[in-house]
Amino acid sequence: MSKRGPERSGSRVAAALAQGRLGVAAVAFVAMAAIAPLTVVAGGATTGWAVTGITGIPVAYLATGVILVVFSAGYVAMSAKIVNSGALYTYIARGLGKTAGVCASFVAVLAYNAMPIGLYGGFGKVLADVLHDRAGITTPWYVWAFAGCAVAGVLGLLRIDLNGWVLAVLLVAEVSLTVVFAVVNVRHPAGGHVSYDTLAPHHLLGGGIGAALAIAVTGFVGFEGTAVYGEESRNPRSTVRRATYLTVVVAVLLYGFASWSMTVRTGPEQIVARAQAESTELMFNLAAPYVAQPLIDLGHLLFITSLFAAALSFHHTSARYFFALGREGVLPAWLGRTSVRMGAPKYGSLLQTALAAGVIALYSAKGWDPMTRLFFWITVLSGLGVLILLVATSTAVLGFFRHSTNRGTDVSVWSARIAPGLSAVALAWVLVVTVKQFGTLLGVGPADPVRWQLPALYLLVAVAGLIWAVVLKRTRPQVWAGIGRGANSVVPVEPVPSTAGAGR
Amino acid sequence: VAAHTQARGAAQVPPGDGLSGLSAHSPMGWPRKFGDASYGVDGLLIADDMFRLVHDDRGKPRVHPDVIALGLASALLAELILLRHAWVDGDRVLVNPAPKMPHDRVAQTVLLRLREEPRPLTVRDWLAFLARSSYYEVASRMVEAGHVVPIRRLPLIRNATRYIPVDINEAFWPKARLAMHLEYHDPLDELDTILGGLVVAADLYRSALTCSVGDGVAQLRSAVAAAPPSIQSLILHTEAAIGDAIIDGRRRRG
Repeated sequence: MSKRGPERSGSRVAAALAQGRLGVAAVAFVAMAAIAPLTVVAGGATTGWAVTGITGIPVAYLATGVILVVFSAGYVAMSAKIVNSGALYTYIARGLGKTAGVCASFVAVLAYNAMPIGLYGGFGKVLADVLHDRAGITTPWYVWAFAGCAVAGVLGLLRIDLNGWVLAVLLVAEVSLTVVFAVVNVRHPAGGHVSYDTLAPHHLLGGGIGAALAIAVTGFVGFEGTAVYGEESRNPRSTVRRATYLTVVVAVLLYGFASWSMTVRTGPEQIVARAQAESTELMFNLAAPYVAQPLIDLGHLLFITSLFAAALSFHHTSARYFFALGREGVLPAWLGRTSVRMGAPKYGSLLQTALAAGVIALYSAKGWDPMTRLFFWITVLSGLGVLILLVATSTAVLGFFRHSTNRGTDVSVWSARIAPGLSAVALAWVLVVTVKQFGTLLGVGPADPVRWQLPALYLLVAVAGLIWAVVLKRTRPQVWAGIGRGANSVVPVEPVPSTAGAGR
Repeated sequence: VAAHTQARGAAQVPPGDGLSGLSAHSPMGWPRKFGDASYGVDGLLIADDMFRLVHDDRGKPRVHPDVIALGLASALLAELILLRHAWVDGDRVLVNPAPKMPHDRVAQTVLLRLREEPRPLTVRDWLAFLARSSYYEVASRMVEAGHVVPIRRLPLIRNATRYIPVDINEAFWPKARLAMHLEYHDPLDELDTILGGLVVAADLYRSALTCSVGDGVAQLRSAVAAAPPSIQSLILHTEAAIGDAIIDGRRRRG
């Protein structure tokens, strides 16, 4: 949760602690596993076309990527200055005050809990479909959604995450396969003509762009996790910075290229119809005539593992949020307790599993569609929450660096002022158009109340957070003093992160 | 081995060697060490008592190895603090420049490492560093002293060794002592304040305390709050380090 590293090179302790620290690639890999590129391209983009009917999703990925690169400048600069868990609300608490921090923590709890729940829906549906198509076994989607939820829940309690090498192999395979499929698509354009229409900037001003941008933001959720690794990285400053940029840049190129390639293969005017007809099979169907069947099977397998890895990653994130907030005293203290033998954030993990199981049960009982209503709606709901947090974090970076003591001598005007200012404006614009077009995003009519009910959830939790912040400030000054500091809230003095890396 | 034996032998010196406020008996008259009223200078082996608290009577760990390692690391620092070889100022560990050395071999090693550092490091750095070897160091110290016997349970698996207590009553003693203190609302001395603080920091209270949890935790916390600043700071940093270890769990492997 911190940036602490021994400050002296030449120190034996520093040298010893430096062993086993993470490099740029390792940090980027873990973040990429959370953002799960194949899930985004094969699941997010295709369902996005099908539900919203907006063709400009590829250019939305590019635009969002550019905004997030700008955002990252201020974000990584601030992350090097504070002891933090990489949790966005800690930035907000430090930069905009503790009241805002409590509101943000409530928004974050909703956003990060929604993500694995939506992913279980996608996991269940895709696995059930693949089993049906390839093995002739018919099973309802919720069986696999419950199974995925149960396995992630157990792994959460055992504090087990996928091994770094397993993640790395899966990720490299996912990315390679996505690139291969994309190249195949571009080499076989519809009508023999490669169209760049879905990359054209005019989509950014057209109707429905809010929906497309929200889908794109959802695709990037998880990139912010790199900042958690400050303490564990070889050089808290440069490792995290490079890994964050690497993650965003790889993701934006991959998302942009792969989603554009699908529109090239179908022709931009056909992409929505094909996505509506073929859903998450679209990516595989487009490549199928030109690649060997085993590669298509491998693609399905990786799609399923990608969904699970992402769900597990966000399960851990949610459990850690509950735990950190329990330790701070913002949420009930029992959430901050550890499982005795496993050292896992036990109650946080159990609570997330219970929430997920409840939502899956609700969807199966109501017969709601798992792909559009669970996977797509709930993950974009999560994306909306993270978008709100990103807007607030950009503003918080500005607020934080207004104090020259925080800024020091090594933070440039670009990182302290210009970049967070630009990203705050750009992300706020994305937020406004997203909320305006939430009906389009969900694929519902203008009269359907769900178009405002879902975004209003965040307003609700933010107001609850506001009230709770006032209560905490009045009645529990000790808790109030520790807000935004996670497990470190027990230490009375604000620890100062060291500025030099331990290793090199 | 001979040197170690000698060091262990030297550890059996009588009590009262310049440690103000630390007597062989608790304020209520219970001996600090089970069955042995002579609790020598280096008998202040807090890490040994912590080791006993984090294992059950069959040597099975009660909490996660990462948590145990940090708890033992903190106990090793606490031994030096109680012996006035080191103290905590804010979040840094400072070393007493006097050339005096503790008698215990492990305490000596830790102190030498502290002295080797060109500048004072933070408590968190020391905890992270010492946690790498604290389990092995403390376990081997207890093996040498004849408190536990190592039993290798599974071949080829790391951490498969269990340390079985030779004397169950001795192994149970720190837990019983803390329980009695809490039961009778008896003021805790520095040693038991540290142990109790570490019990809270490591979330051990549900398994290592026998009294009503809420009460016990409140008592232990207030004892820590009343403790000298060095001890207070050490315990709170340990709690934060353990909290972070839980949050960061997956990254600490490998």
